[in-house]
Amino acid sequence: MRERLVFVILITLMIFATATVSALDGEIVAVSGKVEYNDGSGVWKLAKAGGVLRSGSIISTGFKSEATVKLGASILSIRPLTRMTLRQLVERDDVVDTEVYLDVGKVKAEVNPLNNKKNGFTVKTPVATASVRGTIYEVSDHEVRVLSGNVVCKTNKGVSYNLKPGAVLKVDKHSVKTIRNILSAGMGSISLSSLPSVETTSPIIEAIGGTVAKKPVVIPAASEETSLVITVQ
Amino acid sequence: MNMRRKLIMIALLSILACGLVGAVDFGAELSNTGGVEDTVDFDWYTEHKASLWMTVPFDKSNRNSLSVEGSLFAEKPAQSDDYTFYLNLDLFRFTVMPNPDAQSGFSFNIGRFPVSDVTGYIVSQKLDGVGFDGTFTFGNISFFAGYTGLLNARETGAMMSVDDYLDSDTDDIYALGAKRAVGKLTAHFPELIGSTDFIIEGLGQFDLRDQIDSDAIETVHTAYGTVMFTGPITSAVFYTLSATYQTGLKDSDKEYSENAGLAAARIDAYPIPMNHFFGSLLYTTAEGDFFTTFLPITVQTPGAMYGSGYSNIMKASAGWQFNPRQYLNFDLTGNVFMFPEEPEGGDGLYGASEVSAGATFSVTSDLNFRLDGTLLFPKDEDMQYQAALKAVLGL
Repeated sequence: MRERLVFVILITLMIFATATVSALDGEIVAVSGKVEYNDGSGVWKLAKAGGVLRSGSIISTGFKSEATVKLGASILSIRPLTRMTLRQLVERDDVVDTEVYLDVGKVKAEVNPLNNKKNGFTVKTPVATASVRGTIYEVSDHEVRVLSGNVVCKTNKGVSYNLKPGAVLKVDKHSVKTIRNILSAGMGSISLSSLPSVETTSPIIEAIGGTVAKKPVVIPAASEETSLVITVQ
Repeated sequence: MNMRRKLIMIALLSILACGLVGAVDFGAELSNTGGVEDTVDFDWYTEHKASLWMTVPFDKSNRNSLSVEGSLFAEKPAQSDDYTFYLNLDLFRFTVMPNPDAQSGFSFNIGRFPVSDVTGYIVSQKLDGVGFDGTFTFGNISFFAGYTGLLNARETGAMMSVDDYLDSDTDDIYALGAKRAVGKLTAHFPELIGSTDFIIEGLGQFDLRDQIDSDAIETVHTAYGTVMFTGPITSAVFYTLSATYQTGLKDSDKEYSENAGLAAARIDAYPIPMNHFFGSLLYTTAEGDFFTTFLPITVQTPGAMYGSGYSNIMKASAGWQFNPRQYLNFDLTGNVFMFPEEPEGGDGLYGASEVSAGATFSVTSDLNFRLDGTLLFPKDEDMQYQAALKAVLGL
């Protein structure tokens, strides 16, 4: 019986030895203005350069305040008026998994490989999840804007979008606006009428740009959005 | 019911009514157009529309609401000395969104509201009925079932048969028109093939005159199947390709098949801020051994002045919209109209060319002006033109 127990322990140790998961710490690199963090103890502390961020830490920036955090080999710049949680930062055999939950605000990340391993870098917001495949990107709480690299954005309705450089996606609780919608809306075209009957209520017509629908001919008479922004640079 | 209970009920109803009235949004809009045109002869025309609207929300987030809009329309058309007018109920829409936060969000529209197919060429008008829009993990699903017979025939665009035109040929301020049941089912799959969205739609209308009007001259039943691909070419250039097959049956002096096709391609580009360029091609089948001309549910004109419908037509368009200021927009569109098959007694495939230019000026958010000018160059005929100024005032 004793030999069998030793054997089981050895096998278990061997399994752990071959599939290692090690938690990494994040490091606060730079701070400007008022930046606070909560390491899970419930106590809010002033963030300082050189401070350590562990999984579960919440970090919050004030007006005109920013922080730069190193997560593995990746650099995360946290913009003013942002509140985010470092949910996970672990190194596995072949991948470094980082997950950030962005309650509100905007972050910019430079995603770099650590120890030549793949990077699983995910930013979640209340309305969508953006998974980044390399390079540098920026996330705010209502828009995904890709400047370089690739981002996969999955809305909380489960619809996935593969975003390439230049792509923009706006997500709120009820709708998703692609770069075409955003460019079209960005034209700032004057709407002659503000009557409720001219509103587009079909998500499909809105998704495809709604540029093809025309008004019917008048027949004469007889006599005649919480949102998300992610930017990859 | 005793006096005390009555008082409590009255108090509760009063509170409810006050709450609704406090949240109700309402307003009015006056739209006036005055213009000149030289087609058959030179003449002037005016169009005036006064609208009243109201939106009653049933919750704080305005996801469940009732919107109502009615209007009085009056006009003096060109080449006529008579003013005509009619009343209309433009919108009566209950919107219900049961659980917007759920993973599969969906909403219902019930009543009278605008409906369009994905191409915008087949149906694009207000209809009475029930609509469903759902967002699921794979994409969007949209369903509509409705009826055209309660619309005002003076304004409705559902013009498919001789009877439909006869219904609209009246001075009544509200005339019931085309009696058609319309159904539509659309599925939209975002980024199904790379970054290309795929849309498939089935649409049909069934003429109910057989059942309702014993004096019907002809009945037309049609069904349309559309596939559409749309997506980005670059981050600022987008394409849309669609193909529609129409099948149907016209029962007049004898039975005719209504088989036709429509194909459309469009490019939209936003190369620099505040500039939008587009180019499009449209093709509909001509009368032949198998195909007939395309017969949409909603009658529309392919140009500002070019009056033929979307049947037996090839159209090439290009346009530019330039918005230099928030309060000033310009647009320019050119169209060339051709026939896929030479018309009987015609001479060649070329039909006409048309150039339209417009400017929209916003004085305030409630007062906007629109200036339009169009030149039409029909084949073998003199140039025709139209110019109009429109003022829209929100109250």
